[in-house]
Amino acid sequence: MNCRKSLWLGLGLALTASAPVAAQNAPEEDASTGDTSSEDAPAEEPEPDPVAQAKAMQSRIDELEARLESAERVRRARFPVKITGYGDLGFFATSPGGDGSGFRRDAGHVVFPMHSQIAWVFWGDLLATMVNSRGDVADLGEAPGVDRFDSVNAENNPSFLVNELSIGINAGLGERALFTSSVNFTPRTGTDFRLGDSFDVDVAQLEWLPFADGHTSVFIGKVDSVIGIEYKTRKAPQRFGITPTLLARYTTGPAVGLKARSKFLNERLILAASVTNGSFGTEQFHFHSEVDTNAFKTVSGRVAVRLKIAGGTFEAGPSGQWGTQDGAPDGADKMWTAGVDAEFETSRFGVRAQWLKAKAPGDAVSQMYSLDLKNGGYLEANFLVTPIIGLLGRAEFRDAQVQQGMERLYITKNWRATAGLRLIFNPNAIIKAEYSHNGEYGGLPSIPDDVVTTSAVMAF
Amino acid sequence: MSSPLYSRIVALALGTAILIGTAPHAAWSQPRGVKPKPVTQADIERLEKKIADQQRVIEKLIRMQQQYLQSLVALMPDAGGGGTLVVPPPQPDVVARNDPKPAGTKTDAQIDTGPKPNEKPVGKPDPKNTTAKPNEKPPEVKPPAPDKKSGKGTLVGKVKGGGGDTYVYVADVVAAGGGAATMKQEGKQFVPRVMAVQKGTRVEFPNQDAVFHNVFSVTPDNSFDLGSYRQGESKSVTMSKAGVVSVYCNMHPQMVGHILVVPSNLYTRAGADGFYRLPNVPAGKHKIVAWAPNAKPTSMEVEITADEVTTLELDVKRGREAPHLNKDGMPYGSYKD
Repeated sequence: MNCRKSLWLGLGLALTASAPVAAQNAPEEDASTGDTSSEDAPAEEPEPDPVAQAKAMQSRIDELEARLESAERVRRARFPVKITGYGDLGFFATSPGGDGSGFRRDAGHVVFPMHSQIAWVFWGDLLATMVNSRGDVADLGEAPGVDRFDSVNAENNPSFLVNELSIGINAGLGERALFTSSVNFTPRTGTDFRLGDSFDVDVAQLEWLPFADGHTSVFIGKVDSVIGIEYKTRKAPQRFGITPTLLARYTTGPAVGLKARSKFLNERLILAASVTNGSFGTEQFHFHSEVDTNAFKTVSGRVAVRLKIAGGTFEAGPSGQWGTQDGAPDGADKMWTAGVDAEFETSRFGVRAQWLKAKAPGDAVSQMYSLDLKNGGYLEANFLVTPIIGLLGRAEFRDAQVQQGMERLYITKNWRATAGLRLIFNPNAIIKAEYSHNGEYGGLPSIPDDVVTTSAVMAF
Repeated sequence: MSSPLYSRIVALALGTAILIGTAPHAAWSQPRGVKPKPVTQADIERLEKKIADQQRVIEKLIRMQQQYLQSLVALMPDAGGGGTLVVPPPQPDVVARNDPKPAGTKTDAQIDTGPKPNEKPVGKPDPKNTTAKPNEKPPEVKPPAPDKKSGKGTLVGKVKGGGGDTYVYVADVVAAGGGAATMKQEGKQFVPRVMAVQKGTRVEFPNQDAVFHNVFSVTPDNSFDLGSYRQGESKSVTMSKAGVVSVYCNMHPQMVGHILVVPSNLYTRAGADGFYRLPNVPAGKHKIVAWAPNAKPTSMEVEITADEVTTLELDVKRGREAPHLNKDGMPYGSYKD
């Protein structure tokens, strides 16, 4: 054996012992037919134990599979981002003989002489003629003494409308955190040199699941409501029908702040609580505000039980909120909302109900409206006749007074019956139609403000 | 000192230096103060022989690994395997296969003979049916015991800690799959929630709910996404690799299903009390595995004697159902329920 052979021997020894992977990748010829083997070595070596080899192979395969699984887990944890969105287009019409709005002025205090000390008195509901899932009304009418942006302003004319375009960005931040956002675009006609079009950051929240069981979530940002149950289906692709309920204005608006939601006892008990700048409202009398005008925050909570019964899921519980009225200065009286909701759902049938009371004191200095929601409630049922065809029925009422000092008073004793049809071709293509009859009770004169509306939702 | 011997010592020193540099733990573990013995011709030859031995072992492992990978490639539908080929695993102690039909892709019409999820297995592995591809080394087949007629035994016992939905199967017997099984979507749940199928089985996922579902799995090598479909529609997946396949719905996070894909039809479901009975196991030493959802499989080797009943007790430790991510790799969040 010469010097060169010995050098290769040394190198081979080192590489074989320290880098088996490299040795495996080496050409077969080098490993088996090289002349480094001793001439004195026996021609036939005893075969290695095949069972031991198989075990070693299995061990190697197990290790590789574990590494593959680990790599897959890492890959999935790398901030996946998903862009979602939908477009909601509709066509609507309001009752002949009306003006597209849901209220009337009590000129001369003929209907309500007891309120003759108030400058302007109105009856009906500004939001009675809702035409889409946003709660936009066909027309806001001609209310004296205010300058309102009438976003649809169709008066009493049937009209097509691009109800809403929405873009959402969702990002997984590891296995325990999720960022959710959506921006709504509402293309509208400009008036009086105002553009008309608007966009609104609807939700922008970070959800953190602090525990491995995934039953607790902590939210921060512009978060969804904790009041009632309607907020869970407030957007067009989620809503079985088209229009929100008469109570949605108090319960379905997102608010900026902190929120926590947790499920206990094998998901039979659900607790939710939040501290936010304002209340979970959407009404344009502004009982809510994204950026607070006072130091006192609004606290909200909901307790619910959830049970599996009769082939479905039953959930019910009270909820409420309490805090300084939005827009009012510090020290003003507190605004509160309290109610109870219930829901029963099977894969084919669903029924839900809610009752609510609310009060806001108003503020004479800052001209904030007061609210006295004496009673409000709804009962809604939906049924899938076939996987494609679904029917909706809803009955509701609202008894409320909204007042601005001694200047304006809105008196509402309104009831509404709604029937709807939904055709769902796939989760991305839905067509809906709805008819709502609005009526007045308690001696208030009737207003012709029924609504027929349709909606085509295309989601991705 | 002669020149060749000097050269060898230099070479050995070089190799040792590299060894020390690349395997420090081995180097540091040497006792200090021990002088190295002088290198002899016998030492060199011993080392050369050791290297040759190691190279042979490595070659053999590489060959086995290649054979295993080729088998996996053959199983892939694109490779024409159709997911139902008889594949010899790397374990050399394969004893039997259960493939009465020729290997190859089967048509839908031919597939409907697999064991149903709740049925006891009808395994009848037949050593005579053992077939191999032309280029493969034939697997070793243990002959049946000469004094026995069937060559098969029965395994009975109990699985502790599994609760319901516990399965026991023979891990080292590979047989061609086929057949069909069904996991329904009903009441926003998978029904059955847990099932076992033989590798190569086509699993149907019919939607019987009035709402849409989107069945998916991210289990490596068995991942799939069936997309959204409504009531009355059904989609299917052929389970091409043995292992546990976790199945979810992208719309309803509470929907969780587990499919245990086993290598042959030699499996059975233990009763609620944990007792099981697995007949028709070929005689010989076998690896027996017990599995339950959210539990790591437990395995033991057992010698099966022909025409006799062998008992085996196994333990499994079940964990809780952990939250899973949706098909995009994100948490579902609090409200997707």
